[in-house]
Parts: sequence; structure tokens; C-alpha cells
Amino acid sequence: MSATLLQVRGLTTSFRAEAGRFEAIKDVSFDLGEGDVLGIVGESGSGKSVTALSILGLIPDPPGRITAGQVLFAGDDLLKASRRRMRQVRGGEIAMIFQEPMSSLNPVFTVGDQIVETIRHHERIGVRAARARAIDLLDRVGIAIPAQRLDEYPHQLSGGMRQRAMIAIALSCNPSILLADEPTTALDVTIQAQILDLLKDLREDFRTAVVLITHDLGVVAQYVDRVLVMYAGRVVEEAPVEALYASPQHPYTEGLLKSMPSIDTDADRLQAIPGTVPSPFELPPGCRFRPRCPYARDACDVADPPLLDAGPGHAAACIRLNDYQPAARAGAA
Amino acid sequence: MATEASTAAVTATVPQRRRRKATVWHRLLRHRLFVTGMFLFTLVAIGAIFADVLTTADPQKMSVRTRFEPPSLSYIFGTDNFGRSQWARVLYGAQLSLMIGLGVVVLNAIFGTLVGALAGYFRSLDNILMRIADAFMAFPVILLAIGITAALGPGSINAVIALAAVYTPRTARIVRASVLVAREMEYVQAAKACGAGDWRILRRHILPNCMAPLIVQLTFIFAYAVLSEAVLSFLGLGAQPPIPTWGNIISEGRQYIREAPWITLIPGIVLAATVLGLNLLGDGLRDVLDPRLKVQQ
Repeated sequence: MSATLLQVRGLTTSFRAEAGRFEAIKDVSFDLGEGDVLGIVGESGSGKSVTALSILGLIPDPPGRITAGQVLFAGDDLLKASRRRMRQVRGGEIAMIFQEPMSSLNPVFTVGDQIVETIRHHERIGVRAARARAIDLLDRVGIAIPAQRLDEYPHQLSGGMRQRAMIAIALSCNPSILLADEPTTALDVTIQAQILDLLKDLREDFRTAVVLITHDLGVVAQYVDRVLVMYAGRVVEEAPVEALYASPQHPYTEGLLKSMPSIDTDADRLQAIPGTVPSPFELPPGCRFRPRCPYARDACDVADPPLLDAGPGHAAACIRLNDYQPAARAGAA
Repeated sequence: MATEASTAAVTATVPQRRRRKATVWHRLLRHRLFVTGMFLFTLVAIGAIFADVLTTADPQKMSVRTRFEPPSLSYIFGTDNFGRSQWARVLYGAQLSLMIGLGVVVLNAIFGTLVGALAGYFRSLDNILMRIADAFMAFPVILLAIGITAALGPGSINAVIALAAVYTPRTARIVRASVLVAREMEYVQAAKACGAGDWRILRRHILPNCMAPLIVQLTFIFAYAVLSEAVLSFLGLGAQPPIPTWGNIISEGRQYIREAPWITLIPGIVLAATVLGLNLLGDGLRDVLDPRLKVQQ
């Protein structure tokens, strides 16, 4: 891995709801190096998007609040940075693209206006020069006849083109990190592949590090170097992508992989993980996955295990690793 | 070959874009009620704008010999108890009424948008601003307007201020509601993720998306303002006689309603036509601008 760009340490974000405060993500840590592609997978509500929004300080407060952790970027802790500094970082150094290309562009302005606005917000540059760069960007993200598309409104573009335009906006200031929050979920499969290939190319051309949030394990296998698996707000496994597919260490990851249909076996039914994600208000004592875990034992009730080493660059939060004994440890302490 | 294809594509899409821009107008022009409203309002507006071309009579010149002339060829709308030309008075009255309406609309648009945007976007201000708005709206419109003009003193400028103050909370509520919707849109979050600050987001990304309901609301406010101004001047709190406004004319003619009904009837009809026209205009705009209300005409 090359030079570390972003270090997230113990990030915890909580939200206030009618029934009290709950932690949407707890103790999330990871490193992102230059040109890395990190995948964050997990089902809906596992805290993937909250992680991305927390990094950029975009959690609506109230009801949300980042209660612990550090986000180290370019020598600063972004959680302590001034509003002014954050506005520079957002879009300028860390850019984000969203799930819904249909609603992520402002319907009343042309695509060009929106790209030019972003460029001029971050750099002192004339409208003409910004427009020229916008045309270049649209061309770069694979939009045909960019000079003409520049003056079109979002509703005149197809879903795939809108997502390309969003990526163009995100890239307009040459960010070193791109947070992509399910960028292909709303698109059909062929467009999905095109967009993901585009992201891959851009990463090679610009050395942009990408955090790809998705719930699609197929996407992860194809486009990602390293994976973070999230479950109920926690990182339960972190691994290089090959290691994750070859030997998943956490039973949740194992369950996810098993639930994918395989081309080799002729299965009538897909395997599912029994049960559902616990409500954040009713987390089980001990391990959060225990109620659904095929390997659960009594020791699992004692404590939520930390990430334990499972090989080079591989870690998982399961007590079966390294014969971790929470009961004995609690006794010794 | 390739360039040929792309230039062909360019020329093909240009008229298409122009057509799209024109669709709002086309749909408005196909809306029968809108066209009727537009016609009524334009008629009154032309009368107001070209008042000194359409009549050479002085609306304040009295003449004992021509008192209570019924409508005829020489006096289109007849004359009043002082022998003044009703035609001239109604036209100049239209001038003042529409000016006052316009003034109210402008003030209302400025302050309503400001208050609504602040309340909708900065949630901490919401409660305070909206409770003040509630307090204003607890009074019947005319009563509050009478109260304010009574405090400020009668006159057309004060009538504008009073009516703008009375209607601003209503507009603010409508703007606030649209801001509340727009601020949750993904493009607002996208703008934030691109580093935009609060004011930029409000100005560039939220308010332009709240324009449709505001425009519709303002046409209705125009109608209410014209009507309320007539009420205020009828009660003697607007422009003072002998300046003609529709309210003044109706008020003065009221004593002679049996002998010379045209004095009250004609400005009344014109007033009703104006308000009807504006309301139809507003309905048409609402039908066309609000995509959720795809009404078949």
C-alpha cells in the first residue's frame, strides 16, 4: 500500500430518536492509501453511508452527532476542523457521489452551471476557463458531445449520463479521495459496469483513492482492493479482497458469501442468513451477530469482540479467532 | 463521417431544446381559464397604463351641469354626483389600485421569501418566526390592515405597508413549506459535499426550486391586495378623496345607489373582473407549474 491519505480511528456517530440515542456506527477504523479502492459492504442500515457522511462532517446535527474518533487527513483531524476548512475539503480534496443520480443534480440549473459552480467555488478561475474544464471533464467521464450536454438540464440526461455528470462534478477539483455511496444502485446492469469501469480508469489516471460503498458483493470482487464488512454499525471484518472471498473469518461474511448464487452448483434455493439485523435499540449483549450466528456459544454473550488478527491485513470480530476467551480475559483483568 | 453525424445531432437537438423551453407557455395558452384570466387582467392593465390616452377628461374636474349623467356616448361610464367623468375616474383608479397591488406583491415577495427561507432552512429560527407569523394570522386580514393603517395614518403608501405586513406571513408559510421539501433533496446534500456553504445552498439550490408555488401565491396575493385596498379606501383608510380609487368611488357613490347605480356598479364590476382575472391566472399557473396537479383542461 502506498502513502496513507486518510486514517479513520474509532469513528462513532450517534443519532437521537424518539426512543433515545443510538449509535449508528461504532468504533469504525480504517486506512486509505493513495490510489486505493476500499469497498465498504453491508446491508441497509449497517452504517455504510453514515461512515461516509461522518468523514465529511455532513451528518445532520441535530439529530446526529459524532461522539468519538478521529478522521486524520492531510495532517488535520477533520472532526475538529473549522467550518471554513471543511468547506475546502468537501469537493476540493474529498469528493462524494451519491446513490440517486436522478435527484443529486439540481433540476433548475444546467449541468454546466453546476460543474462551473463547483470549480469556481474552490478555485479562482474565470467562467470561460471553468467552462472549458467542465467540457473536458464531461468528455473524460465519457459523455458524448460534451459541449452541447453542458447546456442541458438534468432532466434531459439519462440516468447513466447523470451519474457520469455527478462524477464529473466530483472530479472537477481533482480530489485525492472519492467517496462513492452506492453509485450504481439506481442504474441498470450494463450502465453499472460502465460507471464502475469509469471509476477504475479514473483511479488509474488521477491516482484518486476511492471508497466504494455498496451492498453488491459482485461489484466488490471486481473493483475493490480491500473490503470492510459492516454489520449493525460495526466493522466485523476487514480483509484484502482475495482473502475475504477465499477464507471469510466472520460468520456474517461467510453467510453473505454463501447467500450468493454460484454458477457451479445447481441450487434451487439460495442460502439466507436466518433472522434480521437487530434494531439499534435492542442490540444483544455481547456479539451483535450472536442471535443469527451458526457458531454461537455461551462465550459470545460476554462481550462484543474487537477486531482480531486473522492473517496479513485481515482481521475479523469473532471470538473463534485465536482462541480469544473474553470470559477468561474478563476474569484476569 | 463522425463529425458529420455529431453536427447533425447538434442541429437536430437545438430546435428541440427551444421547443422544451416554450412548453410552459404553450401549456398556459392551452389552459382556457388562464387565457380568460389573462384577458380580463390585461384589459384592466391596459386601461390603467394608457389612462391618459384613453381619456382626456380630468378625473377630478367637477361640473355642476353634468351631475348624475347615466352612461351614454359622451360619458361612457356616466358621471358622479360632482359631475366627474366616471370613465376617467375608473381608469385612474385602476392605475392606483394596480400600483398598490404591485407594491404589496413586491414587498410581500421580498419579506415572505426571506422569512420563509430562514425559517425553513435554519431550523432553530423556525419556531420563533412561525409563531410570530401565527400571531399575525390570528387576526382577520381586514381588521389587522385597518389597525395598521389606523396606526400609520391613511394614505396609499401606508395601505401598501399594511397589506404587505398582513399577507407576508402567508407567503412565508408557503415558502417555508417548499424550503423544507427542497432542503432534504439529494442535490442539496451533493452541494454540501461539494463544499457549498449555507447561503450558497439556500440561494442557488433551494430557492430556485421553490419558485413555482411562490409565483402562484403572488398572483393570488395580487388579487387579495387589490380587493383589500378597495376595502380600505372604501372605509376611508386608503388614498384620500378626491384621488380616485375603486374603493373611494364606490364609497362616494354609495349614497346615490338608488338614483345613480352606475357610480357604484361600474367600479364594482371592474374590481370583480380584476380579481377574477387574477385568480384564474393563478389557477392556470398552478395547474401548469405544479407537476403533481396534472389537471386535464
